[in-house]
Amino acid sequence: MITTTMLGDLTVARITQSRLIAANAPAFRKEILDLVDEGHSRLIVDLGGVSFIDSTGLGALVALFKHIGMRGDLAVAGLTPPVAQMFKLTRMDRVFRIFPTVEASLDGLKAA
Amino acid sequence: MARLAEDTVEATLEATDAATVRLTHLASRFLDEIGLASFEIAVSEAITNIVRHSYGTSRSGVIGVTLDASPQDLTLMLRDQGRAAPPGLFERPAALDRDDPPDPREDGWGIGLLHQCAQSVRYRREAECNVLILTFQTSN
Repeated sequence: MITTTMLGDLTVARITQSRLIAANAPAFRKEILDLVDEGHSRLIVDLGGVSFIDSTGLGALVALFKHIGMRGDLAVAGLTPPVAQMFKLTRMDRVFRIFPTVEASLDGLKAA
Repeated sequence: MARLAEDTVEATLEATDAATVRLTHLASRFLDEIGLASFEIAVSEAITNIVRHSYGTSRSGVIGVTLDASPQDLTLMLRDQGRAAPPGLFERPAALDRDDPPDPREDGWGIGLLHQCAQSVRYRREAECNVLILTFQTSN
């Protein structure tokens, strides 16, 4: 469900499913948490290909946020309008570091 | 009032997502971009709630879906034969807009999202069926 690209000590995880929903969120959750456990704790999640996310998909990202905690960095990038609306409605836009593009998040995390 | 859809959907997460996509497509000519995103979120959360909590893992079943359009609003009716919802489940959560800082939780968003995304949320138990009715103000 994700493809990864290493950029220095940052990992970009691109979600390959266009809908992150209850039917596939558990598999995504396991895959992305395993990635962190393998040492990829400075992570950019590229949501540019995701046209819709439901609350279970969002919950998987919250699980990732908690899993990384203080041991790394997390940013999400490329939110499409429906995905951005879900973050806004749940006010997770105030919890996650959100960047318009992966490139912008690279700059943001490098500056951190 | 024009009927846009009258379907019976198998109560599985995969089948209901396909229904969400189809209903959102049908609603697209009545709602602007933000309204349509809210519609899709509400439909998805409502149907997923039926699969998970009304039928749960131990029961199978179907969901009756109708979508009607009037000049003022869209009305979505979902009907299932699963367990009755606990009393008060579909009332607007008291803490919906108040938790500050926002609580990063992994679940429990669904009912709040229904109230945020739909103009009205009504639930009744009727002849051993759950009936959930959501309305959405059109942008035309």
